[in-house]
Amino acid sequence: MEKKIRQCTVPLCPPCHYWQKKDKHNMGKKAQGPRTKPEIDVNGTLLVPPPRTIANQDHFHRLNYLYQISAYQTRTTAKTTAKGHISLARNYIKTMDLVSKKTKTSLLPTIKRTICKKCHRLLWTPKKLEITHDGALSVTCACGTVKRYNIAADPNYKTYSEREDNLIVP
Amino acid sequence: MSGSLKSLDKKVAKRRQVYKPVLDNPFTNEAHMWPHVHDQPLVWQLLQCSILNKLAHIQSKDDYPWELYTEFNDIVQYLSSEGGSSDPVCLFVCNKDPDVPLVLLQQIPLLCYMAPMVVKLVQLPKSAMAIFKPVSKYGMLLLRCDDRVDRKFVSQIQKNVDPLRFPWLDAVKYQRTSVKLLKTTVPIVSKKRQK
Repeated sequence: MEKKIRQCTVPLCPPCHYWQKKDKHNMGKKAQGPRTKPEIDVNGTLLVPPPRTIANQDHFHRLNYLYQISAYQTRTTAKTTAKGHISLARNYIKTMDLVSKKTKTSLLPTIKRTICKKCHRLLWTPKKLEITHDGALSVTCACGTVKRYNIAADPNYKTYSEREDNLIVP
Repeated sequence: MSGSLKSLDKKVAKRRQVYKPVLDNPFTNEAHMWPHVHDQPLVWQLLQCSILNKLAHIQSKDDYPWELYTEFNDIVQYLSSEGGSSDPVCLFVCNKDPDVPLVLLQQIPLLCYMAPMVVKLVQLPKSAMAIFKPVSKYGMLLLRCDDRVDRKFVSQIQKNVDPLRFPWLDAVKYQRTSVKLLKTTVPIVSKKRQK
């Protein structure tokens, strides 16, 4: 059978072409094209290209919506005279926090820094904002919880996501 | 040598690169939070000629000819004080230089926006910190634009710097979810080891 196929000189002879294809397929690995070796960098890390799609996007949509609806309720109290429901706003953030924990989805520090860990308020208008005597930036929430950032230790400190090349926009 | 043990060790992958999806803040878009300065060199020159050069010759802070604040705490206190004077205020910040903590910078635009008076937030060009260092530790200068300050200087700054804008605070509009990928690595654990 094989000999026949090789002897056939007709360019697109249907039966031969079919067999040739099948034959190639049976050959296995070689026919699949040159397999590229996985790239390993200096630190022994296997390099993988970034994915094209993100799984479970709906969780992120939900978190995003909760954050914004909470912001809306906070906003009305912040600048305008209309009365917002701060308890509602806090509850939305609380739900958002729970959802992110349950679904194991993470938030960037840019979001987390705007949320009080205790009362779940948005820290847009903190009660107190100061650099303490030891050089740390302290942000006091309306509930009295203090967020401290030790900026005196390293003024140039950047979080992992803020450093270059670590954050990719898909 | 290519056949040495060390080079062999490097060829065996120990960690694998992964991309973790993370949610970004829909509101804080750094590029738009800082108002645009139209003629950056002009504003910087003006500030140097009319304010900074004079400050360099003054020894103590009590002798300043204008009402200005350089400490972060003083600036915050001034901006959040209710019922003070309603004079417009200019806040100059070196936000593009190293040695200015990012956490500190992130607080400023919203703080200015929420202030009871009109605040002109001016971002300064790169390497402005070198001249600012003796005046202010974190490269900030708040100047109250009253009668003592040159009118032309104030009008030039008013003309060249855009006003603060927070579209998400003024109008309710749903912002699209911005999911980003964080590039990290995880260890490769063989199945035998897991057992």
